[in-house]
Amino acid sequence: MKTPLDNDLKKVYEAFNQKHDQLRESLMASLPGTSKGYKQRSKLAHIGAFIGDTIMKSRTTKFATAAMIIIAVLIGIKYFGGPIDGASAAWADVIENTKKMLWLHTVANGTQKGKEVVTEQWMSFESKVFAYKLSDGHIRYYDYSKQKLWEYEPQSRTISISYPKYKGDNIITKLKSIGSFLGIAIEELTKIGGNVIERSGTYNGNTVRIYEVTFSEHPAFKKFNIKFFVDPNSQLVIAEKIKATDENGNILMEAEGKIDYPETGPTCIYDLGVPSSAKIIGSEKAETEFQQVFNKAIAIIDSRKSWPEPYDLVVTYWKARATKNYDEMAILWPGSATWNRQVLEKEEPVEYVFGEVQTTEFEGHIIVPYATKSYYEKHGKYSLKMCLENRKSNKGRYYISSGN
Amino acid sequence: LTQPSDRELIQAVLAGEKTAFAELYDRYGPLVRAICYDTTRNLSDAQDLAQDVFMRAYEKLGSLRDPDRFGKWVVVITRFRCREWQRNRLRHRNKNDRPYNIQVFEPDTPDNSRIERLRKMITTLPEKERLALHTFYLQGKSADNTRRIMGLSRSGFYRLLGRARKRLERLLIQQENIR
Repeated sequence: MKTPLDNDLKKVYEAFNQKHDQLRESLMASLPGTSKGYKQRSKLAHIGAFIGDTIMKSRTTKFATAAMIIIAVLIGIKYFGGPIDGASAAWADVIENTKKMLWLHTVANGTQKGKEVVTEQWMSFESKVFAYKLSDGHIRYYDYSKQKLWEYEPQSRTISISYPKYKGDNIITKLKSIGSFLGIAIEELTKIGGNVIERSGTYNGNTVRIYEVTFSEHPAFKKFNIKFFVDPNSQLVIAEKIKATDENGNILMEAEGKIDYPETGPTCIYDLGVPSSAKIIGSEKAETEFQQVFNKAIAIIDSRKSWPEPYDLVVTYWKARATKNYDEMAILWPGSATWNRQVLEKEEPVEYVFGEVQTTEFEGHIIVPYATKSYYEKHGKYSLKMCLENRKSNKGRYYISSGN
Repeated sequence: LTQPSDRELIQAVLAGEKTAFAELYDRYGPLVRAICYDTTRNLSDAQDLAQDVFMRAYEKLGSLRDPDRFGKWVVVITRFRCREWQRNRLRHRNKNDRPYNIQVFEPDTPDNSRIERLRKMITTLPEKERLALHTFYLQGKSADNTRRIMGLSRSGFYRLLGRARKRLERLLIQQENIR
């Protein structure tokens, strides 16, 4: 027979199921690719290296761009390194809401060694674009799906095009949203010694939640402090402040950035205000191996009149993978053009089974669940998902954008 | 369809099926959070600590000799991690420094509800009795589950659970009398 104590105890234990799904997702996103104590480089170190290697070439630009706080976080991480470990529950709501945002737009004002810097930045993991403009007129636009960088030089009114290649792990292509990016940022900061305080406060007279991260022993700056301001209604980061000082307390860098989440962003460097009369200098460099494969795939896509339905497309992809038909793989999953073919060559074919196509909350995205045949026979369910998109496809065809 | 056993899930994780770990998390996540709460007495910190426990469990999964004992193993990791957390907290307190973890400065919640008092009261019980309550209310009531986690016979487990309940009842009465 149930006693009142029994009923109360049930209620007591309900609290431990709170946010379970959210926490699970957060944990799964933080797990490294494989178990058995496998060590991997910090995710943010990869992103930081990626951005450092490709976009921020000069020291001046690096620091100027650092005034845009998100990037500054990355630079901080790049100095620190360290393994990613853990997933903060307190940050989970913000990450969830930010995941729905397609673009992140920051306008930041700051000083670096006494010099005023104004920057504007756009970032989208959906569109695979990083772009920014500086107050001195320099503009950069990087489309990492094509690994192509446009740089505008205001004095000479010229645009140079290059294909910088990041040689590290291709983690940047695996990041699916601004939310997952921010999630990694705060988790990483807490785990590598950043002292994080969450508290209530005000920003421009409005009540906000503040996440303040302080490092007292930064390798480059004596003290490094970052504040994220979160709007309690939207649960989105709306502003950030950064301050770096040397050992004498002199301010080396100070900036404040306001953040918004537009639905669209720049589609090319001209959208950022580069005059159409700007001269493109130098011939475009030789295409990278990736670019060659990608262009070939695009040419085939453009010439095809019809496309398989999503379910068949996924099945066709796995057939192509089993027969090592890399061109076909790149057509059906353009991102796979970047994969290491030597590794693919050694891969043993695996037999998969597929489930029915499922829609998602995002327009233009669908999912085909799948699993290895042995897993399905044992557990009676699918353990993996192929995500398909038809974004930007003028033929209305779906293509694979992610395999799990 | 029958649920895959812990052993099957662990084998799948070690074979590269990362998603199988999510199922293990579903099974033991609330229990781990409850054990963490016994130390932190704060739900948010308990959630963070539990995440850390599962990260460690995932990294060390290959070292688990008997995959059928995952439940017991993860409880051991949790206890170890909780002790670390406590030590860390004390160290920082001694140095008059802040703890490394996120601190949540919320206005004090009025500690007047029966449920809240009961939750705090559980943290004062002997460890075995606490674990008996946690497993009973969070792991389902099958004897197999509890045996796996607590290493007790069915009757031994129910004796322990009975003791925990009686102690709680006594504490509640004492507190009512004080109020």
